[in-house]
Amino acid sequence: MYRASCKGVLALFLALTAWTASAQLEIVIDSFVVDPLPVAIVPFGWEGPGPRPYDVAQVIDDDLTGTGRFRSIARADMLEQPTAGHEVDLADWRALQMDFVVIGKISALPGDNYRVSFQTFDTVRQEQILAFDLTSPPSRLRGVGHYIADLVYQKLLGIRGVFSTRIAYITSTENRTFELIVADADGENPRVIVRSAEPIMSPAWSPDGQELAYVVFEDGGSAIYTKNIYSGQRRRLSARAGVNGAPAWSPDGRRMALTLSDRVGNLDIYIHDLMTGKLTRVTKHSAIDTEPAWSRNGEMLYFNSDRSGGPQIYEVAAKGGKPVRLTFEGNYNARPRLSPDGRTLAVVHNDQGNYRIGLLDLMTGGLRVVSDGRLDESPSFAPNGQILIYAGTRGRLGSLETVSTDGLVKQQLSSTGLDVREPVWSPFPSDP
Amino acid sequence: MQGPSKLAWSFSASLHAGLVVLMFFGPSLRPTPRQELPTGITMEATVIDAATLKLAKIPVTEPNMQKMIDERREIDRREQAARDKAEQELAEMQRQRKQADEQAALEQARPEKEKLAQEQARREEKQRQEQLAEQQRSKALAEQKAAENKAAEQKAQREEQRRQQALAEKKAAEAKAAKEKAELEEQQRLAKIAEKKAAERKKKEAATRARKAALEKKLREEQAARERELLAAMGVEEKRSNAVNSGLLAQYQAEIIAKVTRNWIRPPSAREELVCIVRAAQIPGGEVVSVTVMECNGDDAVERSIETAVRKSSPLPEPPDPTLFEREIIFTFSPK
Repeated sequence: MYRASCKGVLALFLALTAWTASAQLEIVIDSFVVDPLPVAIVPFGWEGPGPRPYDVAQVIDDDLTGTGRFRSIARADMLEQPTAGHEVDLADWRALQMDFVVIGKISALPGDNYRVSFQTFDTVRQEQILAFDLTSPPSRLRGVGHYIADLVYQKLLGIRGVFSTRIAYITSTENRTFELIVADADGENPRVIVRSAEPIMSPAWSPDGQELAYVVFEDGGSAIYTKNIYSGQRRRLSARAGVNGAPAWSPDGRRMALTLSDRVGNLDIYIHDLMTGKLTRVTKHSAIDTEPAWSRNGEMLYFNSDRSGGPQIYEVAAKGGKPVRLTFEGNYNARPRLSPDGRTLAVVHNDQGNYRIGLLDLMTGGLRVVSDGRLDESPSFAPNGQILIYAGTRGRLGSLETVSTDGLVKQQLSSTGLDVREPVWSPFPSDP
Repeated sequence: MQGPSKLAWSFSASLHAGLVVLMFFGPSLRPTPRQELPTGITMEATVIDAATLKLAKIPVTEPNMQKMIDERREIDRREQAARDKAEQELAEMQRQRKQADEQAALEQARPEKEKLAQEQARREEKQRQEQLAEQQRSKALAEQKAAENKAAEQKAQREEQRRQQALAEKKAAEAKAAKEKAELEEQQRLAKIAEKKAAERKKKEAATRARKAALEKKLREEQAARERELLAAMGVEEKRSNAVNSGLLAQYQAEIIAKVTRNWIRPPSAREELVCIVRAAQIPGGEVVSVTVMECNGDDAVERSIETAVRKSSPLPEPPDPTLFEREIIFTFSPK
């Protein structure tokens, strides 16, 4: 009798549980939109004599919206412009459909320094998600803006921002002045590192971001140099007869892969030990082997070879061995550059007569075109792997273009009015 | 006291003795016949009359009056003289007798006096002795008193000592008692606290039991209510399954998916095999009242994007059939 009633209750309980479990709506979301995140960047307040020394908020705004992953709101459309946390009315920003609000304040410190404090609020979850105080000399206020943009970017996208990194590129003028330039990632603040009346080519960053290797023509031939961008110290690495080209630093910075020609002009891949000066030959083929790029662990080299008839990407052990072909799509795949995560090679791909940037998935072998120019070349990954910079063509001039690695966001860097080629993105600064 | 009464007694005794002596000698001095004397003779002459009495025995002749007068005068003179003389002699005799009497009395009184003196001396001696004794007694008394004083003093000292000692002992005892009392009180206090704690615990336990009982009761009631609801829901469930079968559930789900998808800006940090399960609660009308990420293999930015997507989709679309409304929605974010 008792047992029977127990069983009855249990059965009822199970039935209830089953019913309760079914009393939920189950929804699967398997796609998403690529809309930019709405972030309001409110002009920073200024506490000090005279006019505001720098529009830091504008730098942040430009950085974030420049990636295509954020959209901001025009200052004129803001209902209020708070500069302190207690002044922020989250409901107002929700009404403007701004998911996030960045506010800040610059104040003068003794000794010509400034304190920049900023906060970021999530208006949907109604909480503060970022708050920092930074001290900066007047000359670094723009850098402070980049740094804040990096923090916001990382908080909201889960990836480190690259607004504090740099790019190097080559410009040329019609009267044959060639310059190796280093600028901020947004193209601002360009500085000439090398100037030459002969062409400069193939800039490459050292892993610590301190030095650039490049090729310059001189005395009728080519030579490879390294130059410290801070101290200006220059070192000639290779100036053999014939071709000295396509330098690439190993990930540990101890070796340089490069392309040298032999007596008959055949190009092969070599490794130059930067400590000992010893030169090691990696490939030995009658075809052209050039444009080496290191694997993340420094054991393999990717390179471009036309040994199969047209330029294709190959992989070879850095200590030598039989190269393996990696690209099979199309008749032209050149200039390989490895993504920071080591999973993708960016290449210049002939896409039905147009030279475009393609991304080769090293796992699957699949190739995906992410640019849409006619003569795009020289792809280089940003150190966060999210953006590629490459040289496009605007009119008759080469231009600096960026594209998100998902191919969705394309931007042109501020135009210099010069013919710009061979951009390369620096590593992350060692210390922000 | 004894002294003065003794003196008074001895004085009165000697006075009586004197009177006795006077009464013995008196009759012999008294004049026996009383003779009528010419006027002018005063009564004072009584004592002299006695002398004249003797002289009057001489016979008086009348021959010559002058002579007689002369003679008389002479006689008177003689008599006067004789009287004077007799008086003188009597006085002398009386004096002498008196003296003798006095002497005799004195003589007689001597032993009395001596006796008295002796008595006096004895008394004095006695007195002296008594005084001595008294002195001795007082001395002894004094000594005794002194001794007693001393003893008393010593006693007092001893008593003071004892008192002090007793005081000290008392103080010690008191201190001890106080200490013991304090300890006792502390023990009592602790005991009280323990008791109180125990009581509180008991109370708490009782409260917990009560709460538990109430909870169990509530659960039983809820269970019963659910059972009733289940039975009632059988009808609702039937309608619901009709709605499901007619494709209305799929339509409802599609509307929710469309709205949430429009609001999901997936951050680039999302991994390829992203799976995030989120529980959301809505109220009738579709307002989202809570969003909880249950499990997610994405980072903070991904979780934030998903929570934001659901919250921004509030209010969620209303179901085409009210039986399809569920308070709880489980979202699985898993992009292809």
